[in-house]
Amino acid sequence: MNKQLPEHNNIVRVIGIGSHHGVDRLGWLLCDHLKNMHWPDDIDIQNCRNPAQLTELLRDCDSAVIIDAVITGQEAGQIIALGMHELQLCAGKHSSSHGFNVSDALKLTKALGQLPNNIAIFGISVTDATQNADELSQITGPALQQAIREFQQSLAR
Amino acid sequence: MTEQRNISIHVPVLARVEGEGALDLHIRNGIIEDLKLTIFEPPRLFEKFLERRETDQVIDMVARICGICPVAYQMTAVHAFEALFDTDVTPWIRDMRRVFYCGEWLQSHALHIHLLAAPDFLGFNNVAEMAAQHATEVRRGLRLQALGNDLIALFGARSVHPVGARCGGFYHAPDVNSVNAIHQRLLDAREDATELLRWTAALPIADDHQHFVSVALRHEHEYPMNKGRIISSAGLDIDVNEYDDHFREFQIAHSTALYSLLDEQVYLVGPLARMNLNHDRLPPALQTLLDELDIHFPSDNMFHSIIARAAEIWLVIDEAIRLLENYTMPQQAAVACKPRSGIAIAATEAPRGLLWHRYELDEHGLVCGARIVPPTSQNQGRIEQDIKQSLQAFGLDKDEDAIRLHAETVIRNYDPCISCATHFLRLNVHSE
Repeated sequence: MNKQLPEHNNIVRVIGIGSHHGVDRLGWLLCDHLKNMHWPDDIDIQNCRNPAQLTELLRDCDSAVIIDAVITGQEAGQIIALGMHELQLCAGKHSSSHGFNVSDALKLTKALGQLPNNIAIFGISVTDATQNADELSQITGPALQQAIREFQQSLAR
Repeated sequence: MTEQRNISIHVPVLARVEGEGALDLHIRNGIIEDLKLTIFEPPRLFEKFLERRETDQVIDMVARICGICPVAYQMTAVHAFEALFDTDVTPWIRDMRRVFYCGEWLQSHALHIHLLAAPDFLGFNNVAEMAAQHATEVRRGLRLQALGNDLIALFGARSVHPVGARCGGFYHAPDVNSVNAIHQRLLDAREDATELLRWTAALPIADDHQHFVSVALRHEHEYPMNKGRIISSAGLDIDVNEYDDHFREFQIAHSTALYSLLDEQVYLVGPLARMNLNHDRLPPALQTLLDELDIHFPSDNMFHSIIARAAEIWLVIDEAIRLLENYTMPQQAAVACKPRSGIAIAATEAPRGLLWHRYELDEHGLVCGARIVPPTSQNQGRIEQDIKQSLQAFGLDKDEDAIRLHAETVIRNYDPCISCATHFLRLNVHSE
């Protein structure tokens, strides 16, 4: 059953981006991990199956955290806070269906005036597409939980 | 004296298409000397992966060929196996499969119209640029796409690579409350579909008339989706089992996808071909709306594909509303299938056009050979022919950027799914 969300839009939506393929599942697995933890009522955790769906998920929230696996050359499991520019650099031409990637989806969301006021993009570093997503999610889960809590605290300041 | 002008255009990676392809174009003195739609995405070997698999495993595996049209692959495999096993499904199963397929056409067409094709017609580089001036239309497109995805998930548990279909029916029947909720959303989407059709009809579409052969399924009384005979605008009318008597697939050097010819001629599959051959199967209300908008099929303008897609969106919303009205839980979501050896063949209409499957099953019911002919590989020859004809009509004296953009627009108009098309591998094994 879906969690009952507060009626106001002060929701922090945590969105894990991924697919069913290999280490690309990481965003989803991390969200599954986060769903098993205790969170305040205004945290809403969702899996996103493709960047085109991201615009819809960002529509009715004031703040959002986006989680996606990225190949950066850094050690696997590192949480990297990304800006739009870095995200664009991470998103190769072939990284997504129809060449429409997370960076494109955020640009579209912004053009539609639906971008939340506060947004954090956490890239989870992977070294290659064949890495074990389950193992990585176990390693990264607690640190990601802490990063989200810090993001939420920063909103209250 | 006419100035000599040589142009070489190389588009190394085609944008806003699924998969990896390129275009090479050489123009000398106003004549196209060479033109190649190069498909270099590596072969994905799906047909080999399917060997030694049981039929229900095949149905889940073929869904992985495409993230946009998995239902088409699943339904074609299901119909092939059920034809071999002499399986009679219930009217409920037949109807719900059509709804399942409606969801796929809806999300795929909405994606293509708004995110991929419309920016070309309106002079934008991408949908984000277009959204700044056409936010209402883009929001509507995203709403329609989401509805299509949810319709797929209703039966398939998830919209990308769904897992609900099986030989004989579905693993699970959706409950009445879930169906009623989506039925209400479909009713609400009727207005979106009508406005979308009006919008596409008003797009500045080039007057580009060409001669081509349309190929699609034809059903006795329905707009074709899951079943029918294969017909063409050139008079072909065959059973799906006779496909190999008329169609020939072959490999060429510049493409990792097979080419396909009908009686040695290139041909078109997809929404415009379907609409050209089946417009008389549209519901009267849609025919009236098309008349009102002065849209008439058959059309020999390939750019009318975007209007055909919008009309099909209207159709599938109407179909899904009709089929889900007064929904009740079935006694059974699937009937029993009894596997046996033999050749299993079927064709259905994927969003991008005719999709044909052939499987050979052994005495244990395992697949020992598979052949899959997707729409994009069938359209390759037609796309190249279209680029040549369309560029000549457009004017080869235009500047290079304009020529490049026009050629890309022609390609994107087909909504090519290169990832679907590159699944074969011809292996010549020499063993000593």
